[in-house]
Amino acid sequence: MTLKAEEILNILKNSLGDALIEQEIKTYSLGALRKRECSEVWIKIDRGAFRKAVEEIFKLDYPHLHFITGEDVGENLEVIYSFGLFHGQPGKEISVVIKLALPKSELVLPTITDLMMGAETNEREIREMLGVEFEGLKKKRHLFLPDDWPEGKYPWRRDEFGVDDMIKHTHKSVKEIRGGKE
Amino acid sequence: MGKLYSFKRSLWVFHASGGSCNGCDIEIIATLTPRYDAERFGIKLVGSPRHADVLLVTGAIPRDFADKLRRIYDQMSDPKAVVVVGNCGTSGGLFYDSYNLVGPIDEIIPVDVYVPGCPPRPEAIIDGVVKAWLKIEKLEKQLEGGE
Amino acid sequence: MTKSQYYIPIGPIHPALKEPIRVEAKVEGEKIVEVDVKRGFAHRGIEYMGMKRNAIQALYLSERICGICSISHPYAFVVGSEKALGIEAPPRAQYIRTIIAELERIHSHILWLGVVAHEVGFDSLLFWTWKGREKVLDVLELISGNRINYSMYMIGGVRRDLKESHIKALKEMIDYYRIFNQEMKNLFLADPVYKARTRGVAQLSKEMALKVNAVGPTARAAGLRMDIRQDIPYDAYADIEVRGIVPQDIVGEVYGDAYDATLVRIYEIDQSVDIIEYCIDNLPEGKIMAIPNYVVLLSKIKRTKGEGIGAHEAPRGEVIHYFKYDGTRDGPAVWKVVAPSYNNINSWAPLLLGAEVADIPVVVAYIDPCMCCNDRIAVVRDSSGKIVDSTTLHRMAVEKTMRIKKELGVKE
Repeated sequence: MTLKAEEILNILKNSLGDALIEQEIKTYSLGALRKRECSEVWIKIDRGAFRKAVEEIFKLDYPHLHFITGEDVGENLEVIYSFGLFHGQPGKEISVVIKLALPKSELVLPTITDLMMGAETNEREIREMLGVEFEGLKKKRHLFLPDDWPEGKYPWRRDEFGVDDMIKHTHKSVKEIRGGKE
Repeated sequence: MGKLYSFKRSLWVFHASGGSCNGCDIEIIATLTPRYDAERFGIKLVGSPRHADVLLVTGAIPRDFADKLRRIYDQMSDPKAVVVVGNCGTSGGLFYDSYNLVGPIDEIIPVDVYVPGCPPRPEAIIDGVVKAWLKIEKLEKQLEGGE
Repeated sequence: MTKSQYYIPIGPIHPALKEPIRVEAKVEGEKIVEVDVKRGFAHRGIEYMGMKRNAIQALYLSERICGICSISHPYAFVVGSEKALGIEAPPRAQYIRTIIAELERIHSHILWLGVVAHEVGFDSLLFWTWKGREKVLDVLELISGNRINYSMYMIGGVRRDLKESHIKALKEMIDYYRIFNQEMKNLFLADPVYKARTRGVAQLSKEMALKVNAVGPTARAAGLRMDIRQDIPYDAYADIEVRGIVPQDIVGEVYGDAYDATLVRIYEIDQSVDIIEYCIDNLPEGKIMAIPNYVVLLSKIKRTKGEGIGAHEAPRGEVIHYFKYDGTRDGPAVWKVVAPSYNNINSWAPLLLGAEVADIPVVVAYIDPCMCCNDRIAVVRDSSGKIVDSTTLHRMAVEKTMRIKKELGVKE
């Protein structure tokens, strides 16, 4: 049995209450000669209600985790999760995208590896690319970066923890063209 | 190019891939398939650098592969030749401003033949290996003549 | 029984081709008891580089993430960007995109069949299948100009058109592959030695496939009906009603092992040939690009704000790209790439536990790992510290096949 995007949004609204800061349902029409509707649920929530929202989603159907990513927006880090519900039903898959804002002074999130083993890869990557700690994550070794990577350097950050000073320009002309403003 | 000597022996090739996208690696294997068939020239892929005459390298090199590449080069015995396949090893290619790549291969080990392309065709790779072969035969003659 | 530590080299396509990956496994006798996978030896920082370049340069960068599934990343890039920016590609361009994606699926599956044949010990089958692959590479070279890295896609359409001579070549290729696939079914699926060698090896159950987030033919071989072309249809797939292929629809039962994975991939080649035939017969007329002038396209991107997710079913599974355009520069401000092997490699840990050492090459090749979409290194050492190299491992796998052949009484 599948649900529509509006019904999913209502269920989440009822269980999260005030923790739901922004909500939006995006619809696209895809296809060449015969158009089909595809909907996605995008919500922004308070970080304290994260674990509750994920458990609500798992109650509806065992989802597929599409990705976890994040962005450095000055004071905060915005972390984005995307789950796919009702996969396997032709034309009926709905993506639920959850956004959270974490203040840079407290970069901690609960892990979801107890609900889904495969999320470990994604969480380890966010840990080394942005510096977010996940409580309850067991294996913490570096995944993509080499083991002797210097501490405190996170590639996706745009502040003093970034990696702009570790770049090697292989073509000398690139630096000259950009006027040395790297 | 001078007179083409008849190749006196078969050539053993070792392939090392340092962070490549695998396009060049697939074209290297395609040279062994029946359409391009490098084995009719006596070219063979081997599993250890100690047995090899020619080293084929692909890819732009990430930081922790540079030492391994030097070690592989040192393990080969003279006379030897290095062939770089693809744009990434020749000049960095598309990845010209990364934080984890340490640049073209000729800054790490000495290179004899460059085969540019993204990826180069199997015919071009065979041509590159043949050029390296002629260079090795010339080096062998010099070593024998000098002793 | 003494315990010995084996670190295992994984992934060589050819015994002499070294692919970087590290799988550390503790072995007791012939069975494996503990597994850990380390990746990250070919990390190039592509997402970081893409966030500094403009959208068209990032598109060409995404093409070289992988050389085998070379058009899958641009496809997801283009679908996601069009959703985020509000551009729509004309119908003819959407059909041409589907044709190229299905051509790539054929060549990638035939490549995998050759690799698996080599890991099991049927070497002449490796050369025979790769010779059959040259036909689809010729057609791709005729249409786009290159055998790998075609550069055909653009945000808002495709860059080159299909001419009459191309369509004639495509029709000839379709007849060739119908016959070729029939022969492959006889050679792989009907062969008793291959069936005995792969039945029960690398068995993944439905629950485990859901938990490790498996995608693509790996998940379908386990019985899950998961296929982006069926769940979120886009381009020409929305007109066709594509269904993911699962073993229970074809043979009635599902085990989730290496034999089922072979079954799924061979039948997907048939499905691709049918899709290409439908697209050629119903190709609409019209333009091929929504905004042909790149300067106008880039200045439109510079003014637009939007976010979008683009998903495509690559030969190995689901590829997802996420974009955020923030209206200040002409390229993505945030870009995230998830390749199919990212999640499928999680399945190595539960699959290798309890397996025999001689089955390791088959288990590794079973999920069709794309080395560059992730990167790994493999090194094997036994308890005394000696390095066991990949040729020994490959030889053990072939010896097991010889044993099975003798047991079944198959004459040479």
